[in-house]
Amino acid sequence: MSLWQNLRRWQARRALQDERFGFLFDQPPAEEWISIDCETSSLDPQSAEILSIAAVPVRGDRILTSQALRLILKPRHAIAAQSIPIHQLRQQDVANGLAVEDALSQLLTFIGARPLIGYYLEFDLAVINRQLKSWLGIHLPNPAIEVSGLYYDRKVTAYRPEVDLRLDTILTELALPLLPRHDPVNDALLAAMIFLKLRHQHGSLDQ
Amino acid sequence: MTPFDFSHAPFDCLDPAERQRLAERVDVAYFPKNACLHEANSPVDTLYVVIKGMVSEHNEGETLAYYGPQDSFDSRAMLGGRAQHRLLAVEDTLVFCLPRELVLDLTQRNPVFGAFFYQDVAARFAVLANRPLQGQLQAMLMSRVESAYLSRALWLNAEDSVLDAARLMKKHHATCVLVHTQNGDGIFTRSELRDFVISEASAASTAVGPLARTPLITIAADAYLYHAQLLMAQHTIQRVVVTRDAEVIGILEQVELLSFLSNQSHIVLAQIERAESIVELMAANRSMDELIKLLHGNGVKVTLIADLLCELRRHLLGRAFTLLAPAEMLEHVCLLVLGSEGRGEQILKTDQDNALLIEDGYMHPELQAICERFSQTLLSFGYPPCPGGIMLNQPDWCCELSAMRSRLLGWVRSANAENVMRLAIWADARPVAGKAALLESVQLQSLPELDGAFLSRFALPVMQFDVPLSLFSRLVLDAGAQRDRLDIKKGGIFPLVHGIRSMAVKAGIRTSNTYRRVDELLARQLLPAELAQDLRETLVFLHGLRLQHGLNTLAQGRVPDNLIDPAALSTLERDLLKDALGVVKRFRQLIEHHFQLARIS
Repeated sequence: MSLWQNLRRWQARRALQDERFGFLFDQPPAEEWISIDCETSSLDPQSAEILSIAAVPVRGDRILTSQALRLILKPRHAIAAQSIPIHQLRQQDVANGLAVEDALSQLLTFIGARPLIGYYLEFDLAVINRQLKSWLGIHLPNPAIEVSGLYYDRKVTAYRPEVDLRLDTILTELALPLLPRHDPVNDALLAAMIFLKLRHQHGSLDQ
Repeated sequence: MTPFDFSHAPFDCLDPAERQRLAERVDVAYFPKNACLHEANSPVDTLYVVIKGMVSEHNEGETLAYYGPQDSFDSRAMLGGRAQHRLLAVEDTLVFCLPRELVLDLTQRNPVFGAFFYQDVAARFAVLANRPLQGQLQAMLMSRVESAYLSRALWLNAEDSVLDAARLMKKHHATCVLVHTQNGDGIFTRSELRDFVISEASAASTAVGPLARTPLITIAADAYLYHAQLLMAQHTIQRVVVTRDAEVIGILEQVELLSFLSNQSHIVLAQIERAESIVELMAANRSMDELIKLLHGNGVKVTLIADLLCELRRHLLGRAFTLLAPAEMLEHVCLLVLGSEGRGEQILKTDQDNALLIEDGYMHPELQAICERFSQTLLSFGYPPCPGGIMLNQPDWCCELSAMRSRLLGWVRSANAENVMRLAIWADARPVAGKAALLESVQLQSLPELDGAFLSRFALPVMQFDVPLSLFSRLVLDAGAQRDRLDIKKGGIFPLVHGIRSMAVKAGIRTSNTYRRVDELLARQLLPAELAQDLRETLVFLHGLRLQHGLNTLAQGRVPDNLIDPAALSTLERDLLKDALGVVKRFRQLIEHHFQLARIS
């Protein structure tokens, strides 16, 4: 980890407003990651609310779907109608969901200091961090592994600077199964599979 | 919602609650190419189901099996908790991991699910070359332990000697005795006796008690038979002690268990003999289909299944004709089955090849109508009509003796390809109902004019199709729409059967079964012993492969053909196939030489 990253981490640690979550800055266990996926009420990271979160642990070459965490959240505002067909969560489906802080509290406890894996993780993290900043004063300090980034690094060449990063393309190219999409656990599982496959092809990518 | 796919056997038979329990415990593992899933003899706590990729099973350098998407493995290791063989990822592979204790628990609760593993294990137990198949679940597996034959339990006391035990076993033809010991009841079997003999201790002065294995592995009399088989598999033992209300009532031997399953044929036979109507016969006909799957699924040898099934089918066809024809008519006609049915080598149903011989001068107004009804009945039993029209509802194949004789002689005199095939089918004729003696005078072997020139032309079709094996022992795939299949009948079974048939006709051997013909040819020293053995084994293997392929095709709801996909075979099967085709090639050369076919082809 670079000095700059260490400095950022140290600053974040000081900014943390709730000592209960100090474990986020601990040393993570070796060979463990958490693959996460969120469904949100819209596609605007400034206003989107989290509707559901799935977090699937990965330990070595094993994806522990049996220990997956799945959370349904209750949004403060109405769900954008055009997003409902995608995630299939209607107003009544989330009516009994958790409050944002309860859900994030469970999520943080679950992931601890482990690195995060995801597909277009940036968006999910932006939405989570927006909520976290106002509540705990920090962004998630965990290292983030973007599987489409791993894929890009592998595919890109000077002759072919454009890489098709659509999930279906990546799965097909890597000969991975096309599981049904937009179930958060399945999406997290797919990201974890891409990670494991590329990790072996690249050698070590664990930071 | 779960990524696990419940639409494939055996998981499709789990109920929603069981699926939920399983779904909650499923993990996914990734194995890069060449990674080892487990080594031989390592403990196993997982049942794997392939999501994508392929895994191979190895034993001392030999590849035993491949597992592809949706295959679950390794059932036997999962049951025993210890790996038998090494498992490797052939390519990058993703698998679902199911915890062993949960799967074991589900096999106990859900008999259908449990029976799948029973069948899989039973299949693995069978000799490799027997080509067993994972059949569907049969009602017979759901029979109770008490319905099988149980050996009597013989008891000794701990202080009785090993000699006493051996004498008792000999007296009762038993394979084991039970012993009351200080640590509870135990069992002393032939293998303990063998180990004892090796130890060279004195049988008269050694007490049997300390040598007995404890605790007893027991099963309740009202448990399902497949539970007994599972138990034997789990403990790698050949027998279990059967109890009722905690009292030992007998011993179930693995041999008895398997023979119980094959003995179901007697029930089918009784069903046929008792049938008073075509409708009742129909039920027996269905039982036969089930029986084939059951026997093959349990690794019973193909020749045994064929013998059994041909006998049953002979009774079935005979009974059908007897039900349709008046008793008086049976005194004057003879119903024949021809071709593979006549040889007794047909396991799955095939085209109707049959004929009716009529005594010279016998007339009956209903005869034609009865033959027509018989053909229709067979059709409703699932025997398609013969494309060549060799059926008794055709005038050519339903005629008086003298007419048949002159027609046969006509074919012998102008032995073109078509007539030779008719004569070949006729050479395999076997009577199934009516006056069997009618056949004798018109059997191919009893016709005059079977000279060398005719016999050469008769044998010629052996050379008709190339054996799909290249000079360098590679399989040649040129059959099927995609030209990626191998026609096992044209390329393998037919040349063998017809070559042996030609030799049998030449030698005047009257039996129609190919294996019996080989035996006869060997007895008359017309075949070298080694070749005879090779021919028998090759035929068993090819018939087995065809049966397996046929059952698979039927299971997919298609009509069985003879086109094997070598890519779907295991390495071992492919190697055996090459060996088998090598034998066919050698035999073809022998026939070519023997009948001097080079002269006329």
